[in-house]
Amino acid sequence: MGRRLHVGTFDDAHQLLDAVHACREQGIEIVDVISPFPVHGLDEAMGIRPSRLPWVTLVAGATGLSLGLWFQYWASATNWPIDVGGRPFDSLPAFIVIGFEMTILFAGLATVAALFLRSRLCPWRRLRPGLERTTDDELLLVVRETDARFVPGTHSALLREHGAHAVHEEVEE
Amino acid sequence: MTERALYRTQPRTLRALTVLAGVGAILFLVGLLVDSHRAWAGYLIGFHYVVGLALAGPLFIAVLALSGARWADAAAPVPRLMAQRLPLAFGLGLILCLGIPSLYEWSHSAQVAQDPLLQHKAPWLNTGGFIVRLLLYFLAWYLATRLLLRRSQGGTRGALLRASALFMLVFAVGYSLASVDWIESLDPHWFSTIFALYILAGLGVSGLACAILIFIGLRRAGSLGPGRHVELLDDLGKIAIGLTLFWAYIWYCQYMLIWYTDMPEETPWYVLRLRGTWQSLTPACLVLNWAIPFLALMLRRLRRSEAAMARIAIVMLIGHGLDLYLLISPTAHPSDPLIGPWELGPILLCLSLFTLALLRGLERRPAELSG
Repeated sequence: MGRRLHVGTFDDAHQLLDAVHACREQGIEIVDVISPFPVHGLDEAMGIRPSRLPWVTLVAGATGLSLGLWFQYWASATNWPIDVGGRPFDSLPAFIVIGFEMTILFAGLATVAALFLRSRLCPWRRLRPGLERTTDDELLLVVRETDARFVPGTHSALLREHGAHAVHEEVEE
Repeated sequence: MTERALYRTQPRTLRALTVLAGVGAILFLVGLLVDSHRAWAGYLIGFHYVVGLALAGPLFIAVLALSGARWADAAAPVPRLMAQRLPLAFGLGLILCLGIPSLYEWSHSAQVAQDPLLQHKAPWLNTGGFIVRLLLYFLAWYLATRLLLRRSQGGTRGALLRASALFMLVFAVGYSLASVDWIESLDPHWFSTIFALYILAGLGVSGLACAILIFIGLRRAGSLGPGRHVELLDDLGKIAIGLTLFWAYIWYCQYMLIWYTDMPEETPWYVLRLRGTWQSLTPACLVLNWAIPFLALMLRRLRRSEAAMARIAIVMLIGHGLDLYLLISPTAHPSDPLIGPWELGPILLCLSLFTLALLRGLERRPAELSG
């Protein structure tokens, strides 16, 4: 059987941060925070591990750079050498621009792809009804009711105390 | 408004800096007698360094105001402190005028007489014009900076935006022309249309490194108001990544275009800097100004550590010194790089005067520093 979730709706990021701190102090499990904009200090407050996304960017960027440089070297120095104004066939200065562009292309596409895959986003995915304002000006804090500390009403009272103007309950699927 | 000083320097430190400035001044004076070309080249490095640091202050204030940024509010005294050093830079500039004959080929009428190109450029490149323009640059920068500092301490947002926009205009035009006057004209036969932007990129990198050091110093002394200082340091680190990348990008743009087109009037500048012993200094300049800060600042752990950020900032400042050395000194002694007392003396003089003025500025008018 699913457990109950309490969803608090906030207007103010500072109040939301306070509520997150209070939940952590009380040992209440935070399922997620949904916010239309980045909230400074939220990651630390929720105790989330730093994102591993930059590593995807770094590895993809390094791959793009190596591939770009290698292909140009292969094309202009090995496979089809052409004399351009007497310059050496393997002139690095000429390869930098394309190497740079390949770095950015690989890093950018890989980062977006990794983000979409990890957060299961895709163009045809629809927003759940009732959450429209979370992409505008509304912040949601979702906490889970755990058996060990079960006192009816604690969760919603705590959320309201820290400025949630609405709290509703849902049963976890 | 509080009149309490933001920071009190130990008298010992002030004495040490005064001694350093004195040693620098003596080395500079002796250098003028022994080898005036090298002494003035060193002086130009020191002067240009100080001008860049002083102008970076109002530049940061104006950029932050124009972009509507509030994230750096806790560090507001830092750029103000740098901006107040503009009169010192002007004083150093007046002394530079004495060095025109030693530094600039175009100031000798005998050489101009045998050189059609120098004659063609004479309406701009002449001693009187150089001095008048130097006075005008500093006058315009000073007035625009004063207005900006006043507007950023009170008054409406619209007035601040207008003062910022005015400063940006005065700064961009003046600094572009000044970079041509002071540095590019060291080799009056050479030209590069991207040169001013390259000098500007150097100002950004060195100015930000200096701001990071002052910020860390003030924070350790507990002089900054409440705020998320670690986040701010992290953000400064991210901007530093962008600026070092911008510097490297402009460096490469200038190099690549000259290398590709391979025109006889453009290449000598790089030929000089990529032959002989100079050859090893150009990669060193790229490593210090770009590779080390760029790679180090990618690590979040280092961006959030004051000790690491201070070290990275010092690397960037040394790198900027080497950058200016490579811009200026090869024309003073083309054969081989020389770094001795005659270069280091005047550089030491200018930088220790700047540091001294910075520390004094923290004590003298604290009310003018609050944002």
